[in-house]
Amino acid sequence: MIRCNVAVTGLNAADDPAPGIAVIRSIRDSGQWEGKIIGLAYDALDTGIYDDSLADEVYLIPYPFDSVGLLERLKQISRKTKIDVLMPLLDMELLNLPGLVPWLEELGINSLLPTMSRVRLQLKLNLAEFCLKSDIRYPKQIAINSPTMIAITIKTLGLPVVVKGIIHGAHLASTVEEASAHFNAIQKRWGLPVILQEYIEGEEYNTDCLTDRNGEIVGAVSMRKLGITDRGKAWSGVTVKDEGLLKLSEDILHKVNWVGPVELEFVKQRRSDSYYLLEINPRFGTWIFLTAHAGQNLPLAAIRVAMGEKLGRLPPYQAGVMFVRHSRDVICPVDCLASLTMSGELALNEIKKGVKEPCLT
Amino acid sequence: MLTVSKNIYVNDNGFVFNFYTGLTYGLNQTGTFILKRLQERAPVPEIARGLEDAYGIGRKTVASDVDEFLQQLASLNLISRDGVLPNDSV
Repeated sequence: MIRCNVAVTGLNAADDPAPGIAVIRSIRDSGQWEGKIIGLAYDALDTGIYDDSLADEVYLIPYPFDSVGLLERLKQISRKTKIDVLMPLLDMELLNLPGLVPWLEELGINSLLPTMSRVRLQLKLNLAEFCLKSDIRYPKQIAINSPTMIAITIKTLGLPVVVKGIIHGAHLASTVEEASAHFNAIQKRWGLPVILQEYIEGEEYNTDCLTDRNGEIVGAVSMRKLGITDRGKAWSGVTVKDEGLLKLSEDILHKVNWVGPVELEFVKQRRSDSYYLLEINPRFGTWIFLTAHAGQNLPLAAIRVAMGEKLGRLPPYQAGVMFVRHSRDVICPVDCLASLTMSGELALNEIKKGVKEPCLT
Repeated sequence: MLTVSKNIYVNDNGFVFNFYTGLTYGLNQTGTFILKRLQERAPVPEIARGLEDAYGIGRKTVASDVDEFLQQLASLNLISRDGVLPNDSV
């Protein structure tokens, strides 16, 4: 049993879900943890805030690019509730938080994060070069700064082509026109350059892993995507035991010298049966809850390592365990939204206890 | 030597799951019968005789159909006819 308060981000599970909810459920379902879950949200409408089975308390925080504002807010929160472990679960947070570790430690907040140089390496712009140098199969890609470059780039990469943002987002385009539309949408949200990547036809697999502070593998679970949304997100999947894929994943992480949670995305090319690395995500995947029920509770292990425990390798997981994601409506009093927007914090269960009806009769 | 992959799960309704690739397949009644008997290490001639008896089909036809089915299973790495299956580790 481990006792600690865990702060978790990534609470939004709308059409592009973040992993926060899956991480909280993994921790709570473990039966080996006691403490509070502290939800940290950027938007008062992040869906996970309003599910009373998840966070004990929720606080709105500024975006991580505002380092001073974020640290000040964490200081305020720490005065109310002790945070023992901070688990960031959004890609953009990892671009800044590793640099704040000394200040987090001053607040008594433990974390398990890769160094900034490792985070930069996994960025989509740098990953292609790293893979080339490290003899890892990676689709050809070209970064462009103008939509006028789309047609000529597609002549090199062929169709269909994957249009990707430098931080997040990927869309498949079957025509130049579709690629242009995706280019504009991605540019608006994630800025320039936009990446055009060769499409590799095949089955998609992910491996979620945890490495300790020395970069040693604590656990790794591979999953084949069964159902995929039009945004490329796995909506159902099944654990597989492909030793070759697990070894490839471990080799990549050793080459990167990664520390902490990480998700590797692969496609197994139908033509050659070879795995191509598509992405390294610097956090757990949204399907991480599956790992907990397949025999390797990676979020719980991450907390233990962050709290200073030395963990050996987790026991093997079970192949053939499946997840299906589904959404359902959560009902709560409007006071919850009022609390968050007015004071920036919410203790959902306390509000629910004090309010009988959420609406006028 | 004919070997069935240790990586596969077959249920009575013909659902096949490959633990290694995560791929799933659906078999008809005859296919399920053949694959399950192969898992029990039944010799192919014995399986063919079982089909002849069950369906009243001639020996030549059954032998040819079974052989074609075994080729399909082999192409999916669900069985091997030379005893070697890649990554048969689960």
